[in-house]
Amino acid sequence: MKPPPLAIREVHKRLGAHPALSGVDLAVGAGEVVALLGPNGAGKTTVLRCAAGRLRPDRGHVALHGQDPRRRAVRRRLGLVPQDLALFPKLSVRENLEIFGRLLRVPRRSLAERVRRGLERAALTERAHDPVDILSGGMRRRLNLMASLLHEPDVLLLDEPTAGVDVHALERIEAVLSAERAQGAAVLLITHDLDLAERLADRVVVMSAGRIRADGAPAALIEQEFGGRLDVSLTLPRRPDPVLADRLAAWGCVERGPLTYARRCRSDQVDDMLRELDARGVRARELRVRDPGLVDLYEAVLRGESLR
Amino acid sequence: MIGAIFRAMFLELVRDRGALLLAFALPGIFFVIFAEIFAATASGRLTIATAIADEAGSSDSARLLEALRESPRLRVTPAEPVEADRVAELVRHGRIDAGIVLRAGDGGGLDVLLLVDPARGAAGEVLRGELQGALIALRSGPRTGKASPVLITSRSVFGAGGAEHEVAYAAGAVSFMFLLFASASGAMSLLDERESGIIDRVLAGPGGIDVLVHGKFLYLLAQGIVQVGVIFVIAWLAFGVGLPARLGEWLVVTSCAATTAAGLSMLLVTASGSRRQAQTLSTLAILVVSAIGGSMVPRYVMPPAFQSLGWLTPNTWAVEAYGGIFWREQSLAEVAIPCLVLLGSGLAALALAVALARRSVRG
Repeated sequence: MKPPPLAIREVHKRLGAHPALSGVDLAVGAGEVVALLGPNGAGKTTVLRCAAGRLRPDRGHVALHGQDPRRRAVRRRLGLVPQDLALFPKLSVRENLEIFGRLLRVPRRSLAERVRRGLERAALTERAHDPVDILSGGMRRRLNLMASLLHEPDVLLLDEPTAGVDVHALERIEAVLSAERAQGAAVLLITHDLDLAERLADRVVVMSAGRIRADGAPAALIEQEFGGRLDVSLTLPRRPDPVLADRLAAWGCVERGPLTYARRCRSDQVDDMLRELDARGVRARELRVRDPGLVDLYEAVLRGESLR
Repeated sequence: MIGAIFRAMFLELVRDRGALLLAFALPGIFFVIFAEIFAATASGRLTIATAIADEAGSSDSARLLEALRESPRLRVTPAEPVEADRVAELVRHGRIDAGIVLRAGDGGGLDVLLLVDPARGAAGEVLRGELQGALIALRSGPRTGKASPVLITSRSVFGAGGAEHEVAYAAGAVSFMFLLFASASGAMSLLDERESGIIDRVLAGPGGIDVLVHGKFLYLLAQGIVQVGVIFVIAWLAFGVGLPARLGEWLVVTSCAATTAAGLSMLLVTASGSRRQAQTLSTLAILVVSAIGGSMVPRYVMPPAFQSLGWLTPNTWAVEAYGGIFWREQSLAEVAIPCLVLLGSGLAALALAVALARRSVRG
């Protein structure tokens, strides 16, 4: 059986005295985008550095297409987009792409065409001759991404590639990543943008304290966590009397603000609750009902309601 | 890949006018100042400001006064004799470099008292020499009719001139110090690239750290040759240093010197944990080796212990090599030892830098 483009198996890694990773197990398949989520210090960047061959695991192993990423030949198929803007600020957009193209061993004969295509994909053709240090933050982010794609890697590691960008730049970056996936690339994306992860990722992996707490398709994880229940927010017209207050508590409502109560329940339970309120002569001033999303899942996982 | 690193470093320098000026214009300006000072010393253009008190009031003292006024190495100010106390006061306040008091000696002779400021000891020595010359001339003159005493004269072993030798010394000494400064500054881009993630990007791909270090080393080598070239062209055009006649030898020596500067700079940067650390370390190290190695003052004026220590600095070997080809008119074979020391230490430093860089990226 063909090994996945990126496989991380039972990896343990200590950084100094601190256990940065404790048995991380993760694979990214061809044509798959995996979003790696978690708070700062969860171990996401350590996973990325192990995957890029920059850190040797203390235990377990990492493989790119079944081979050790610390071998230079294997890394020909790897592209890393660092969190910082890893660009030469005084050089023009084109010069940056040309130089990174050469550093990433793009053959000379195809470099000009790759640079032209890179400029086009990053929507920077008209700014090709401008020095990087006068570009907007979004443009630099697009260039930062494109500079790692020139050698057409089939495993992409991205560390917060959309940090601080506007909607336009975000759409561009998202389009580029979608295109990479469509071409069969395995993409491991670290992000704090949960909306982006929900839109783009085929799978999300939530980490905390060096461990994976959840791993799966966003919809499946949400279904698994919330089981089709809805998030309900109810605002009453006046303070509930003691009997109603007892009922609200029995329904599992939590006070979230002045006269506002929230609960997570099935849709039939919402109907029952409204009927009972009606029978008591209480007409809700506002009722909000929504499906829980990735943000709710993320918060639930980090609160310790672990799925694994 | 090395070409790409070379190109990136070149373009970053060319686009940064401040850095460009620091790399090429500042060393030139600094060299001209040094060269003027060295040339003035060697060509007799050095003048000592002095004042004279003539308490003897004799014909001998008047003749001596006249001879001192005519000396090209002295500027007698005020031109007329003043009181001895006034001379001492002028020296104390730094208005003149050293003073002379002429007094009537026993037996009708002339006593001469030199008033010196210990902080300007060299000025006192020059004045003493001029005085002795003038006294000898006075005693061998027609009036006294005495036999002429032994007159000591000096002659350059390199024939006429001399100033260009001093300038060539300054060119070698100053250019090597700036070579170290510019190379260290250029090598620090490696730390910037580590901070910005450029190294992460390159290392995650097929490239390795070796290629980054070697690329930067080669760029610094080329930049160093150009930088030293600018200084020697100024030395040739403005001070007559014989660069065209020794161009081949100059290129070999300069390549060896630039190898050392580039290698040591890469070693210093790869051994440093941060830019600030590298900056402090390089400034300190360069100032120390330049001071001991003869880039600031000639080593022959240093205490013997410092002169010996100088052989541990690359500056001394660079000055030796340039001295060999420009003022001792030696062949390349005759300056082989300093060249090999420079080349060997540069390459050894590069090898160590590569090893340290590999270690720093190993997880």
